[in-house]
This record gives sequence, structure tokens and C-alpha cells, in this order.
Amino acid sequence: MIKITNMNDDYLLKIVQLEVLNQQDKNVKINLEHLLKEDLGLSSMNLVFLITEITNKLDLSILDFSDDELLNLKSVSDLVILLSAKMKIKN
Amino acid sequence: MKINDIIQKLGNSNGKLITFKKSKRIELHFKDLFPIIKRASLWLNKNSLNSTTTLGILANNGFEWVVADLACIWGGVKIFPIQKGEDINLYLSTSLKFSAVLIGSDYMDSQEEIEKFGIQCILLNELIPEEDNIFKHAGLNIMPGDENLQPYNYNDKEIFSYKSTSGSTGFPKVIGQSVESTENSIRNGQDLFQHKDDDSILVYLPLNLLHQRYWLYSAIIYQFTVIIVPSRYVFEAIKQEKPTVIMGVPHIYEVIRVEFIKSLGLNIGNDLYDNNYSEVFKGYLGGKIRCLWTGSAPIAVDVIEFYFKLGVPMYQGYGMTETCIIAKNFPGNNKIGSVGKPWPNLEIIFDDENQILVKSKFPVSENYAMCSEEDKQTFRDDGYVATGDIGYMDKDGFLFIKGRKKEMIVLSNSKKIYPSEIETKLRCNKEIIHCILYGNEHPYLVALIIPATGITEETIKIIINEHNNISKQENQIYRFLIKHADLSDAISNQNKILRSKVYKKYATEFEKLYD
Repeated sequence: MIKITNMNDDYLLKIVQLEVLNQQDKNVKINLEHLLKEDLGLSSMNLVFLITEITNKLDLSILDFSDDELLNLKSVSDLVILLSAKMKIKN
Repeated sequence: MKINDIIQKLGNSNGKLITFKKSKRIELHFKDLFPIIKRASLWLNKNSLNSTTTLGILANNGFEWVVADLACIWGGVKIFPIQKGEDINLYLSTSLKFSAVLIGSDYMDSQEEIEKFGIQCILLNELIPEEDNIFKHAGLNIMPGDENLQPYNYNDKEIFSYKSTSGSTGFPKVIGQSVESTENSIRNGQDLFQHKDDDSILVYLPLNLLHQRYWLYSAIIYQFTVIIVPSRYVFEAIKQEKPTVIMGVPHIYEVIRVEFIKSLGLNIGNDLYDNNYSEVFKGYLGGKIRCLWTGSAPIAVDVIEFYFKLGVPMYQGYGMTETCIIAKNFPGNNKIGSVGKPWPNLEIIFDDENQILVKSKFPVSENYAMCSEEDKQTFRDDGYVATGDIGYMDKDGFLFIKGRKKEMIVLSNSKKIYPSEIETKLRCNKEIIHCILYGNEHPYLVALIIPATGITEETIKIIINEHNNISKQENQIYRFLIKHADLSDAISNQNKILRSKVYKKYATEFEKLYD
């Protein structure tokens, strides 16, 4: 079981959960272990849309992410960790 | 319009480029770009990179690509776009010779790998002023003597740029596109769509694709704005840059449609068309949108209808690497469901199997620079290009595509998949008896799996995840369906899966995997 290690990540997870739920258009409980493609069915373009929405809420830019970073995202946990890292750089 | 006009008009063009260098937004008139291009072309010239040279390029959409491209056009240098992770060794074994590879700042970690093949790498930083000095350099005077560096004078038949695509066997195909073919595409694109100085065209698909670079050249010559962004920035660019035209592929339009409807708190089935949502939708697309281009893969008719009904015309087209644009819908000449009328200066006929055959007055090429034996049949002795697509033309002269001659799966993001290759690999696992991929016109692959007796879903999931971890994105299987079923009625006497029978039998269940 992957656990949130600080409040900031908890906050990020809530934002990710909310946005993924918007994308899913169905009532599912999103957890850190969920795989973005296999479990949630997000295509690369869906993922770009999702991250664009999240970065807008966090006052980040999707241009702060490299293509490689986006390609390497496998799970909700990966996404939260990456967002957390970008937030730390920004702050 | 001539290719030679691109550089000739650059110094006077009021057209505008909006793009990025890393995350820094750059907006400048082409006439202000001119000294930067001249400086970069001088650099190439002083390093003996000229019209006899082919340069690979590995870069993301952005300022570096634009400068490299225009500097190469200035010098007559032929560009060969390459992708990260591509097996460059394949190209070295042919007559294609890279003098060097231009590397963008996002790909500097690839330098060592490329140099292992004995190829020189040129970092695009060397051609382009430092980020902070771009505008300072824009006003820089060219050194005495450098004024003599004249742009290269292209002739109609010579190669303008190379382009590559995956071949039907998975072995890459490389083609050198002629100058006259490029000119025919750009000239007719402008004639049919009449882009004006208040137009701004959004390009987010890779500049590796020559037909995406047409919009850069058009913007210089016909003096409008081109917005060139990395694909990950496309949704933000629509909102921030407010384009009038978007060059896209079906999948992005599907995503936009779904997300717009969700943003209204509605469902796909809701009737939007009688509720004055047109202005809201145009606002969702930035507020200035005039029309959309779609191509590279089939698009569902109901998606196109959605856009038209909300007042945003979407024009579907059709083309291939070997022919450039074959057909296109355009304002005043549009039929939803068709790929449009034949492109000017191009003849379309059909063979006995209704395969579309194309002959152009200005052919892309007469052969491949590199391909498999099988692919050589594409260029026929009678001058026609065999497209591999089955279609027909209606009484009004609109072309309709019915399907692929072979079984290739084309995802809605235009990625082409060869299913048997993946299926065969997965069947190498003893846990899997049969695997049938599905995904034509959908954003990703799904699969029907017939497992061996006693094998659980968890085990199959592990195998699929292992496959996904080592596969390119388009070859990954996002969802799958397990059936402990007998497929004997869908297996030929040579033990081959009869794909169409499987698709027909499980059509509903395959489609549910995209819910």
C-alpha cells in the first residue's frame, strides 16, 4: 500500500482524484495504486488534458513538464509525486 | 508560390511566429526572425553544411526547430527528422548519409548514443542565440562579407526534405519529397482556404511531419500567424493563443467534444444544438476559431457533425506520405463523411479491388530512398501510387474511404498498429491461447484474450503490464476482455485467426472497453 507522506501530497491527491473523477464520468474511488492507462483508461491526450487542468489549479504550467516525464507516468501515485516535485521547485 | 520564396520573403514578411524556447514564450514577426536565420545559415555554411548535405534533426516543436529548418532551407540542406529512440543504425546501412544530427535542448542526453554510430552531433544552441538575447540578436547587423551569402536556389525536381514512416512490415520507409510537390501542397492549401493576415494557425503535431511545417512556410509567404507548440501544450494554447484554425487529428477533437459536454454538466446524448451553445463552444475553443482541419486517421461522422452543428466547421482530408494531400473538404465544398474532393493537379482512379490509385502532376517522388521489398510495390510502373485504401467516389466527386486493404489498425491519434506482431508476441506466453487486438479509430488498443485453462485475470494483467512496460505508447493495451471461449469457428485451416469474424462476434464487448 502506497501512503501519503505529508499534507501537501494529501492535498495534491485530492485534486488529482477530483480531476480524474471528472474525466472518468463515473463513480469510482481513485487511489494511488490505480494505473492511469490500464485501470483508468486514460489515453495520452486524456492525460495531457487532465494535467493541463490540474496545473491550472496549482498555478503550474504543463510546459514545466518534459515529454519524458509525462510518458513515464504510470500510476496516480507517479502523478502525485511528479506534481509534488514541481510544486517544490516552484516554491 | 515557390520554395525559393520562403527565404526571399522572410525579411519583409509581416507574418508572425508564436512559439516556445523551453518554457519561454516567443512572439516575433518573421522579418525580425530574418537576422537569426541568416546567422544560423552562416554557421552552417562556415561548417561546410550545404545543398549536398543531409542533416538529421532531433528536437521538439519550438523555436529551435523553426530556426534549424529555415536555416537549412536557406542553405539548401536536406533535413531528415528522426525520433528519440529510433534505430539510427537502420538508416546508416543505406545510401542515406547524415553529415550530422541537429539536437534540440530537450534531447541533449541523446548525443552520446548518436555519436556511438560515428555521427557528429550539433547542438542547436550553437546555431541559436541564448534565450535572453533573441531580441537583441534580431536587430544585430550581419558582419561585412556575410551579406554575400545568398539563399540556395531550389529546382523543381530536387529533394526538399526527407520524411519517414513505418512500413507495412514494420521496417521504416523513407522518402525524399520533391520541391514541386511541396509547392503544390502549400499553394493549393492557400487557394482553397484563403488564410488571411488575421488568421493564426495552431500547429501542435510534430514538425517532424513535413505537412505540419507547411504552415510555417505558408505563414511567411501569405503573412499570417503560425503558433507552434509542443503537443502537451495544445489545450493551454487553444485557451491562451486563441487560434483561428487548428491542425489536428481525430483523437484531439474527440477529447475536446467530450470535455466540453462534461463542462456543461451534460452527457453525449444531450441535444446541444437548440440551446445556443454555439457561442459557448467557440469560447471554449478560444473565441476566435474559424475552422478545424482533421486528417491522418478516420474520424466518426457524429464527431464532425457535432462541430458543424455548433458552428465550428471541421474539414476532413486524406493523404499519405507517398502522395501528400490526396483529397480535402474545404469551405463551400464539404460533404460530411467524405474525405473531400481530389486535390488540384491530382488524378484518382480505382483498381479492380476498389483500391485508390493516385497520380500527381507534381509527384512527391518516384520511389523510396529506403523501404522493404514489399513496400516497393506502392510506386507502380504506370506512375500511380497504390494507397492500400479501399474507397469510392460519389456522383458529386467526393471521395469516401471504406477501409484499409490490409488489417492495419489506425488509432484515432493516427498511430498505425500492426496487430499480428503484438498478438504473436503475447501468444508466446503459455498462459495465453489467443490474443486479438482491436482499436481502429479509437484512441488506444484493447484486446480479447483467450487464456489457458486455470489462468486467472490477475495473471493476464501481469503479462499485459509487462508488455506495456516495454512497448511504445501506441502498442500498449489499455484494457482487455477475457473469454474462456472456443474460437474454432473463427480459425482458418492454416490456424490463422479470422479477424473480421472475431470482431463481428465480440463487437459490443470490444466497444464497452471504451466506456
